[in-house]
Amino acid sequence: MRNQITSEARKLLTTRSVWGLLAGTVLISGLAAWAIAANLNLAGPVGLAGLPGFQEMMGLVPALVLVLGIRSYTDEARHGSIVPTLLSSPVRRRIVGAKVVVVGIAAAAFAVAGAASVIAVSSLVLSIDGVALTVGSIGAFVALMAKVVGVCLLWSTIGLGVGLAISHQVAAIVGSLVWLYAIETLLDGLAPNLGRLLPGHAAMSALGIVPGDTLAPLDGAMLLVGWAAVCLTVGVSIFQRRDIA
Amino acid sequence: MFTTTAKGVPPSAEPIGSPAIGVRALTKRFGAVTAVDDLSFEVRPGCVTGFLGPNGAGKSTTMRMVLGLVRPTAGSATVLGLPYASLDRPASVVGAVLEVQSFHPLRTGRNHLRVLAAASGLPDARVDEVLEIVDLAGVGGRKAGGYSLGMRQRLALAGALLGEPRVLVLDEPANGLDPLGIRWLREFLRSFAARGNAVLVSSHLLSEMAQMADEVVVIDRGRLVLQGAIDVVTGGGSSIRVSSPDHEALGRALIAAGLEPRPDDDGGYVVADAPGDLVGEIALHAGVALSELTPRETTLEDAFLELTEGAER
Repeated sequence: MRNQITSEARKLLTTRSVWGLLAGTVLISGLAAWAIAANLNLAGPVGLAGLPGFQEMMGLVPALVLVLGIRSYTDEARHGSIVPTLLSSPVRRRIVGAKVVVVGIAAAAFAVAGAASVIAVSSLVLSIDGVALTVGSIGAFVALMAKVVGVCLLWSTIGLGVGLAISHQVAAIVGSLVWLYAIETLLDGLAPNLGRLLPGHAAMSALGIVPGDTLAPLDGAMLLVGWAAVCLTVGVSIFQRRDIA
Repeated sequence: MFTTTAKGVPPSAEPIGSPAIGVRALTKRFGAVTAVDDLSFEVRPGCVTGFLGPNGAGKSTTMRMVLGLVRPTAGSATVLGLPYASLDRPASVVGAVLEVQSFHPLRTGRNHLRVLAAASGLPDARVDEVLEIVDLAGVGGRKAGGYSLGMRQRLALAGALLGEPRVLVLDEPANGLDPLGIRWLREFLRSFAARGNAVLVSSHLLSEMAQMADEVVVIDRGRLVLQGAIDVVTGGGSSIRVSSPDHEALGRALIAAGLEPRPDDDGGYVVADAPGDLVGEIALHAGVALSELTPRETTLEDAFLELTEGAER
């Protein structure tokens, strides 16, 4: 599968759109950090892991890596490059496996880039008020980043599964974002017992950013793993049967 | 223009086992529509096999089933005796061009090929070689979305040649090529087959196919109409082109005499397997003046139209 992974990595790195998405991640995370950090009333120095609102500042990164995952397949379906891809590697599961690896690595890179932007902008904004953002406990920060990276990785896998299943790029992206920001929000309000089991809420629970949450972070993480597994399994199952006509 | 025909053609190492492509009782239904219906044929090594049929006859669907892109409803297709998905290194066995637009438009031509080369474990140096072969080396760094139709076709061909395959499957590869490009393609495929490799190629350009192919497979509405050598298909026969100022009366007289005149694009008729003097006599007895009575060899186009129209009847 090494050949397929190299090929998928080249696909990702040789179009400008992925760099645009990465730039968007940095920009949006930075803007969110600016908005949140400007309203923090901190008296003294604060460590990275203790920065209030860090997870919220990173809140849109999962949506962007979801789009990245969707596009990993739908770009190929849209432009017809899926034909030479399948001719080079006719075992479809192998292609999906390579995409999971490459999109997962890219999602982790997006999370790190988003975090770097958040730290840089927060540090700048807090310094205006004379508050220093220090490194603090490295272990705690690594644990926090591991959660963020893990959540992003799972969202990219969910995106890939959705893309494989739906194939039509606009429908997959718009449908996913509407689900995430409209339908889930609505269900969370109307039927909280159901809403907390959905992927968006599970991700927030995993990051520990839902006030009064009834879902523990570990449960949220496990639930999100389950959603990623379900989406990928459905996507692969449909992709395996799809005629490339 | 394109480089020499020999470059890029794999040397004939081991002879390909027969057949290079085997299609057996292949059937594909899309809902209520039967696109391919119990189709069987073989593509032999050392031959360019033309794949002919009217639009919607099922040629592209058949090719896609051979290449594992479409799942057959019934039957099987093999390349060198194996289903495509079972080939260990498919790029070194089969090269295929199925559609002109099969790349990300914002990726450069060279990067598109580098993506494919990586998937097949081929070195990047091979990318530059195939770009040279199809005369795209100078524009390999440009985004493929800006390529002309002919350049896109050549990029697709370059992708097919990457793995130095023994079998080529090409769906309308001449589309968008200029006359020089078409001649290069013909010579390339002839040279490729002459080294013991196999080619299955579909085209609407029947005159081109007549010059290029050794054998043809003719299908209509998903079913095999005929497979054979070009001269067998054309029957080595002849026909008469006949025309008259009174086109309708001439047609009626020929039909009344038991012949099957086929109107051509120039306002006359082509009458197969009938001597010129017989056609002349029929016109004379019917009192129809003739403006032309010309013997001609049966072309692949004549045979194709006769076969497919015959199938419709």
